[in-house]
Amino acid sequence: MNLKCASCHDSFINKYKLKQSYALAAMFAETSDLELVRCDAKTGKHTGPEFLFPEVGVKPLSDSLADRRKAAALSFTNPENGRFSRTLANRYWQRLLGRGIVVNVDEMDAQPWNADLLDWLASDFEQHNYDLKYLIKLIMTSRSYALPAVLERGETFRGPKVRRLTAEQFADSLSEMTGEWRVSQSGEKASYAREWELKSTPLTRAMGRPIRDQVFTTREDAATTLQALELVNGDTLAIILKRGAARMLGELPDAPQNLFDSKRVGKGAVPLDIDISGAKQLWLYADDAGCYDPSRTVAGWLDLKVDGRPVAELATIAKPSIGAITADKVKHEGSIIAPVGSLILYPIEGLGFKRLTGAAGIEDSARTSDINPNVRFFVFTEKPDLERLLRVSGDAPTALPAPSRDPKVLIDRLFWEALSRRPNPREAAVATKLLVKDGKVTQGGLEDLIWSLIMHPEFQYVQ
Amino acid sequence: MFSNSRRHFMRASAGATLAALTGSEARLIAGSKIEPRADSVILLWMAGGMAQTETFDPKGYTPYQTGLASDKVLSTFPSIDTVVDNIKISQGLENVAKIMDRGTLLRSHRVGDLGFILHSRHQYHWHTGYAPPQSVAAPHMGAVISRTLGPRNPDLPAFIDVGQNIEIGGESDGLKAFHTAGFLGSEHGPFFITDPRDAASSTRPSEYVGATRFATRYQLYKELVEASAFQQESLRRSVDNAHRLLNSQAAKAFDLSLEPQKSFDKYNTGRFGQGCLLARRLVEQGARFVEVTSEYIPFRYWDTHENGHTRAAGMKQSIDMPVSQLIRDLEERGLLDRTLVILASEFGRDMICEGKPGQEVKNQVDQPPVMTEPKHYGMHRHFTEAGSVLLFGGGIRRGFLYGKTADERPCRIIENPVTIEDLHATTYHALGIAPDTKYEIEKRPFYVTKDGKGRAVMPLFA
Repeated sequence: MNLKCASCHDSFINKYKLKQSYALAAMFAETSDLELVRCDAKTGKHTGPEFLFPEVGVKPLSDSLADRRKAAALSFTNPENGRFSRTLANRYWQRLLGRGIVVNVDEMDAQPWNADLLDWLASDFEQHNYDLKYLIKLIMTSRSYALPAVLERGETFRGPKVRRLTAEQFADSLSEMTGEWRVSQSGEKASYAREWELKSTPLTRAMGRPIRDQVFTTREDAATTLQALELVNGDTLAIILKRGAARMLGELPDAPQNLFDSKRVGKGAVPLDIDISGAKQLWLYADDAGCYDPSRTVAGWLDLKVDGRPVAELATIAKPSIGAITADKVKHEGSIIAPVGSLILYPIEGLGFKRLTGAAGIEDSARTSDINPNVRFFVFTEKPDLERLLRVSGDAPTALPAPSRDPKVLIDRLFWEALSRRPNPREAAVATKLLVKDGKVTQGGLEDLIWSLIMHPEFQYVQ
Repeated sequence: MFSNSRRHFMRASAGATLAALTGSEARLIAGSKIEPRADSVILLWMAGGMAQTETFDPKGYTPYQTGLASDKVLSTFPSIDTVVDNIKISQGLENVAKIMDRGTLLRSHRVGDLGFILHSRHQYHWHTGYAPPQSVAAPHMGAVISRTLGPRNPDLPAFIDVGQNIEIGGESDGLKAFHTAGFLGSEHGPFFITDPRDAASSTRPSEYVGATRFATRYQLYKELVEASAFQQESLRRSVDNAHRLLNSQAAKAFDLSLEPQKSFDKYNTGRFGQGCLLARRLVEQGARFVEVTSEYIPFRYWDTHENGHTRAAGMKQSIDMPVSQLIRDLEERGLLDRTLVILASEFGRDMICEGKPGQEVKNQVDQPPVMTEPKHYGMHRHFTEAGSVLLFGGGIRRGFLYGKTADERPCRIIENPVTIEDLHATTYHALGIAPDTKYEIEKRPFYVTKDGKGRAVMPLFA
């Protein structure tokens, strides 16, 4: 139900009253007694908790917040309350077929265009123990779902509506095509993730992923110029395409494993003592783990030694500053200053070093509220892949594509993934022109082919 | 020259908009007719709460000394003369002082009382005209202007937002909430230039792709789509618009490296200064609404919670030259008459009073009654009673001072208070948009100023 209007005054667009909204709110509020405020004016009238539909409502056992919320949960899910299953069935129908059986999914008091269908879906859903997967499968294996998609929006159901991919579907489909999934690497372990599991990006916000501060029950699916600018020229997509194409060609090197991970450091220092026998290079990386002001964060590698010899004395073209860092009141002279985001390489091939010892830490004077330093330090013995600082454990959401350099294999596979069909001869010719430059499959060409397919209306619109 | 191309754009975008109609599209209901005085707006946003007594409303100056009582201090800088006899401003704004004859200084801007004080909430209120939270996704004023007037030049987005990174941890969601077109639809949302120093790269193909490959890709893409049976007009238009914009003459405005070095240097105090230069270049090419922010990041820039004196000096240094140069350049190019420039902030600051005088709110910082070190010297608390605003161009009076605050703490407004609604109404008035212009959304009216009640402050106009 849409109670937005009724949260300020008796609704002009549906039957709900101000008092009903407040009574529902009183089931969740800190106090059980709420004074009604009409628009900005207090009314002097009060209400206690009551479910929107008292006939199927469960009364709280006491005025305690826990009891009131428990009563709310029971009221919403009361089997007597047929609205619950009808609302869900209607929303899934709308999501999968583009248009609700009650057309406006927020106004379930309105007339469905097929009441029998909605009732049957809802009761079948209840009988299957509210199993959402069952409901989705039922709809997706129906003849209605299999009908050709239609553009017009008449009253009569003629087939699913042509509808746009959501931002999450768009991002995940691209990942599935290329094998380039986003990775959650903020915690102890890194794992592949679908878009919905992670924060939105400029790309997915442009594609309509909502922000958290507003309540949305449906998505805007317009194709806009600002969105196209992000798709045509945005960094987020460019990086996915670049890595994705390299991966499909088998040219994306496996990310090297770190030998040391300090986890998030906000103050003090974390010691390290690692075996570096046989290493040809030493890479020191300081990652921003949530500083307010990375530019003024002062962090560094403290007392860092290889077999007792100060690393600060080794040759490096990075030329880091060397200075004192006081971490947790202990002063460390000769520290290697590591600005946030700094990557320092020490070539150590042939020097026979075996152990790296020391610590990584934050300068005490940088621990102010306007800097709020948070750094995560890593040591690698190969050039790190900054998108994959941690070992990714577990499988990708879908199987990664096998690398190939065969244009026909790549084109066929991408068409199947993107458009669920083979290319027609004209398309195959254009795709080859995109992909093959001077007789060879190039990474740039593959990026452009993937781009052209994900920008294709047949990909972005579900038919 | 823009009128022809504008019609062309309107035609081109009409299809896209129609395709986007989902039955919930907001419908414009125009208010009374007003003759526009301005075509463009530049909003210079002092994010984080600019201390009015350290900038445009200086009070008695007390130099720092150890043992100084906090409640004795109203300003930590001496005041300086401006080219207008009755206007003095704070030291450190010498360049702005020289252009005060081109505009109006408003010292009586009173922002909302939102209960608890949080920068993103007050910025939301200022930019949308509505206090959060709202049951309808309220649009940013730039989006309202974009939707109501459309772009001036079809090759430039109508609403360009320069300088704010919205991925900033703590208050990120709050910032995202008002940097949108809300119910007006994302076509009218901000085109973000997070860092003006990267503006050029946002508006031309990346170096990695290169111009040739970029053009070939687009050509072959179109061939590929033509070879398929399924077409979608709105998507095609949006992609065409994006490519046209990226290849347009107007897009060169984003490239600050094309600015003569001498002129560039006059603006270059860093990010904000370059943002002012970008705004000028964009308005020259026909931009409609450009916001340049000093950027909000908690505890940084104007959000001075300690060391206020030193930090205010730094902030003034970053705005003084570019703001004055922007006004001079617009005037020299004959653009100031039709461009309204507004400099404003979500609230002012004080050393003692938090929020509105006489109203209890939680103090956000501990200000010791007696200062023992220089970091205690400054305006560290949020003051929502009074703030200062500069207005130039777009028919605004020149060399004019409006509104007055008391010279003793709590320095309340004692003449001509101007609310957010009235300041917005003034801005819209300059553009020929009546304050009771409304959009119908979800069967309710949504006015461009709160409940349609904003009143343009007519004495501000010449």
